[in-house]
Amino acid sequence: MVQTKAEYVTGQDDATSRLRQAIARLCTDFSDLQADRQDADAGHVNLMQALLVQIDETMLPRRLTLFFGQDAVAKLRVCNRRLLSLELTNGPGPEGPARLTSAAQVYAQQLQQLSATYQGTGFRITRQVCETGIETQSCSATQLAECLTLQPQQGSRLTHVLAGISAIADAWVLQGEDASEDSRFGPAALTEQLTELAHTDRTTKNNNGHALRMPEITPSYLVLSISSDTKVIIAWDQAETLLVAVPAQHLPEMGAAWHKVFSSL
Amino acid sequence: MDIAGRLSALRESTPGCALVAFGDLGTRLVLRSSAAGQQPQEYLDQLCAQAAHGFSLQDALTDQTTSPNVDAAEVIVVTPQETRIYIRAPGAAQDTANDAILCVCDNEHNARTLVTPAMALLDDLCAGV
Repeated sequence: MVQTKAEYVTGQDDATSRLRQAIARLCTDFSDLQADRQDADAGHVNLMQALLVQIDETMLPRRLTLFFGQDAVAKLRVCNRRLLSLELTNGPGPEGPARLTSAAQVYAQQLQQLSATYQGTGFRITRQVCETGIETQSCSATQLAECLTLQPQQGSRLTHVLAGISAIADAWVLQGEDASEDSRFGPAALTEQLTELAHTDRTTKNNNGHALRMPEITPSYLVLSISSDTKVIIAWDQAETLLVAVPAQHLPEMGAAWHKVFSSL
Repeated sequence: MDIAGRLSALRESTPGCALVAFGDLGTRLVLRSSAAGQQPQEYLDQLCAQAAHGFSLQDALTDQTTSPNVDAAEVIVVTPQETRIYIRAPGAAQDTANDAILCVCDNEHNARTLVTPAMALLDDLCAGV
């Protein structure tokens, strides 16, 4: 049945080929679609690939909601096979770093960060009908895919640490050389505390850099207490600083994630 | 037993402990130390400066929080090669508030076993024992 419907589209060009794939997928047995969803729930599906397919196959205005577990972490408005807007529930806002010049670059950077945060976690995507307005920050699935390819696939070493512990963190802030270019996750009050702590760290180092032998060449992290059951980690690597609030009982996992990245140095 | 002897006893009783030092966070100077091998003075000074920096961040964090049970007595620094634990006595009198024990161990587990005896040593020093 699937094969019969797909066979009516006989062209060989790229657009026709993708249309053939879309029709074939839509004709797939319901049990196969359920299996796809179960794979995504179990974390066996590439998030970026799934999102790109959804964008590329959406003509009428739809709002896609991305869930990790029970948490809705992102809302994407899509129409005419273009991503019109991306709203993250917690994380980098729509204003991307200044070096990102196109909507596709900003969206790609946000999605990469999201993917790193929830690496290996199962997800699901829901679709609802939505309205569209005058869109000035849209990009096609192809443009987005190109930017995702251009983004550093490996990320920084602290990004790797973050990917390993983001699921157990209450909140985190990742700052580059320029503190204004940070990304964050978690309750606003907690991320503000972490940001303030990073500011204090920088100020103190600027004043006492000589005594501290700054810049520190060796990566390291510091363990502080914010309450009896929550620890704060400050990790430094070159110009990057990662601050994480983590339940005290998960401190060993934090250490393991850090050593996994840095212990071979 | 004098301070140097107490520091040596503390180091030798802890597996994987390479150095135990007594420092002043205010002047950022190591006053006494016991190490498995010879350590350059600049390394000791850096430990003390790092301890002072760590406690200043802990104090900044404590000032921000309303939680009454913040453990402000210890700061841990982890590097790929070693784990450093710095211990102070938050309730100490003003003239001994900057006293700190600085320890370098091979891992965090061993470092944490030093907290209780190091606190006891600080208490004794504060009391002039």
